[in-house]
Amino acid sequence: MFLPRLPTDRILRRGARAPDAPFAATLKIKGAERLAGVNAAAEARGLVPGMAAADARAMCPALTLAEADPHAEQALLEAIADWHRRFTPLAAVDPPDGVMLDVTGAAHLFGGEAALLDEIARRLAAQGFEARAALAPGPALARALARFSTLRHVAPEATPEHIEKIAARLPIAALGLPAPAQAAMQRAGLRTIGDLLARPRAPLAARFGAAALARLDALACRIRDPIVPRFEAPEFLAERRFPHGLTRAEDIEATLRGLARELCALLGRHGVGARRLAAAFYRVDGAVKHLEAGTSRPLRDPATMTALLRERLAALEEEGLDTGYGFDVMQLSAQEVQRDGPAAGDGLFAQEEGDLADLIDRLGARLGLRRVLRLHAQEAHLPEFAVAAMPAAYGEAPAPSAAPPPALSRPLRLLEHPEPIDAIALMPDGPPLRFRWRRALYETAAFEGPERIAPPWWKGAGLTRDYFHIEDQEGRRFWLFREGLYAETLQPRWWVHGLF
Amino acid sequence: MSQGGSSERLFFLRRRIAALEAQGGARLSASPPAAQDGPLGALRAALAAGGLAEVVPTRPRDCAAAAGFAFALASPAARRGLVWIVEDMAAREIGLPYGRGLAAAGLDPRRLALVRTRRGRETLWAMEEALKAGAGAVLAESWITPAAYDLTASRRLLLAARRGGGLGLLLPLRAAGEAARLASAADARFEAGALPHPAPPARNTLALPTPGPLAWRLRLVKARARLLAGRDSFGWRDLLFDPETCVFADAFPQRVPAPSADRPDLAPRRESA
Repeated sequence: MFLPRLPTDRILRRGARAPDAPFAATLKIKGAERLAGVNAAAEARGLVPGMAAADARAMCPALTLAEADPHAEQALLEAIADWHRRFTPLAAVDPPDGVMLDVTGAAHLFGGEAALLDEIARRLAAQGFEARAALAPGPALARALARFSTLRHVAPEATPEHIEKIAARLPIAALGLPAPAQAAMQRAGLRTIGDLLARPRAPLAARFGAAALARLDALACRIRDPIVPRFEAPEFLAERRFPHGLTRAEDIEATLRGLARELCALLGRHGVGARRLAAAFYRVDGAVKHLEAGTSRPLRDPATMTALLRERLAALEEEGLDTGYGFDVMQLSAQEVQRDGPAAGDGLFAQEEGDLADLIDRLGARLGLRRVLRLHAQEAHLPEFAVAAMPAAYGEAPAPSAAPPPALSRPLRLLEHPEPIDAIALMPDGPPLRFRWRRALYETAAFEGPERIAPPWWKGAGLTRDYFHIEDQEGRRFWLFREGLYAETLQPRWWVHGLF
Repeated sequence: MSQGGSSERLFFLRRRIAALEAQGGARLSASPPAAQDGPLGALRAALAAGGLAEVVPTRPRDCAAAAGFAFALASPAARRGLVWIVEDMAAREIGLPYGRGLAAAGLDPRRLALVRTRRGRETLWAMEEALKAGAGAVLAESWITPAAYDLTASRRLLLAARRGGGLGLLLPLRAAGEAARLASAADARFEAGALPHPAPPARNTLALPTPGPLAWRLRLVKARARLLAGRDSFGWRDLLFDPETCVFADAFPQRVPAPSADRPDLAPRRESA
């Protein structure tokens, strides 16, 4: 798939300008304004990309210019690649102006390869993109055909001789080599791929490098070079297509329910459950919306699946799930599956295991997986590292921790970061008599400590901490520490770390 | 530690022995803890079967103490699973629940799910979902405004708690000190704060006593009549909490062990059980 006029189409499809007037997008290259893309009307007047903007104006006074934005073009190309996933799950971006699809085994769903090519080009044209699509047994050949040939379709069962005959007619530029290498070939009198194919390989490799030969082989489909898809192909996928876009929330939800039923039947046949779900909504005008939801256990229940996706949708609603002109393709896929073994008995809640696992998934889908946590005890002496909060959806149930030594007092709450306080202590090792935290003064009425916690010396330097459990006159309890012994530093600092 | 500190510890241990003797060794028995015991026992048992309560801090500085009381109130129900919801603003103010401390207070970390929310509306939603899913106890610390937490919102939570049969505890931290002016459909509302320490300020830090067990000064601001047993009243009272048995005790009990000759005369009264 080749988009020859991406820079201009990007701007023109917003509709601010007349599409048949000459128009070009410019880019500053080495301090000079040069054309990055031209539309059909401008090309008819002899303008080509790479020309200086001043020259172009001289040749065509009616030309309008706008600045090109490579980042926006890249983003647009990615959106186009996403849009193509309605045809096949394997879609890759081929920068700067192409999209690669692997349609092996998918073309017959759209009435054959020729019909598929027509449909892609027609739908892109409806969105305002000029596109040239080509289909070939190898991605390099397809890429070259789309750009340099009028031939659009090479059947996958074509013989190697036939493919070589097609490739031979292509110009050297079809190899996609860097400009110096290409110029060197031109100087050597090689004009077409056929010239290269006719020559012995060893001298070519010696003169132009192994990379050139590798490209040549890819072009002639002698080696298989796979594309790198933007998204991994899902393990299982259910899909619905509609002649018109769906806009009503009820319809979308009903479709999701149906898709969940299909997917669960598929999963059930293979005896697996989904651990990661992805839903994709393809809007009529080309925008694609992806949703993902993780589950804390292998899931194969349509109702739960729908509830989970409903939460993700509800979370979107706040920023707006833009139905626009409606969705015409909806997909639901299991990105990651797991064989569901016997349910782990040692879970969070002994009795209603399933209900609460569902609860965790639902909360995670709405709030974000990193906001639903389980506390895991760690082997660490520094209090902030002694407990790790891990997302409940990923982790297993926390291991039953060894009971903490009962003599040590630990606060019920730990501040997210220790906060500095101004403290007055009468003795070097003693507790503070009074301290100021968040501008309020507290008077010590009772204390316990110090509990000395040394830093992990094997990880480098740190200061020893002396922890105190302090109760103030009003009965509030704090867990303070002095960072540094007087032997270690002259100015130890005081921090409040926890509250009881 | 110095001489003063160790004598303090000895004093504390003696008092503990005295407390055990006064109860006839009941704590040492292996019988399962009965939640009905002690003050608030009946109220707590009634709430744990599907009820919604609010714990409002007495003053803004008492937020952590109020959260500690809510945790103590929820601890028997938490054996069936505790969902602890902390809004970001509350986490900034008073930190997050700390696993080691909770374990020391008798909560198995495997029974805890910690949920962090961004806004008050999310907190209420998460709390409702958790209650509906049948969690044993749901504790939510929210920075929601009293205006946003209205009758409708609290009614939803109450119905969810009834349906799931768990205990819902909401801490509207921003409403500190305004417990009486809050309007909601909750079954009960407590106003809780830290219990001031009885000892006079000391000049010498080493002469200070050790902190006692967790203690609060609280009152019931409202409660449905059916929840109230004879012993629970609406006045201010001081309570202690024993994490081993999950039972509250009055800080000023009826049964005070007789002072013996070898004990210090000046016993801080709140420490005895």
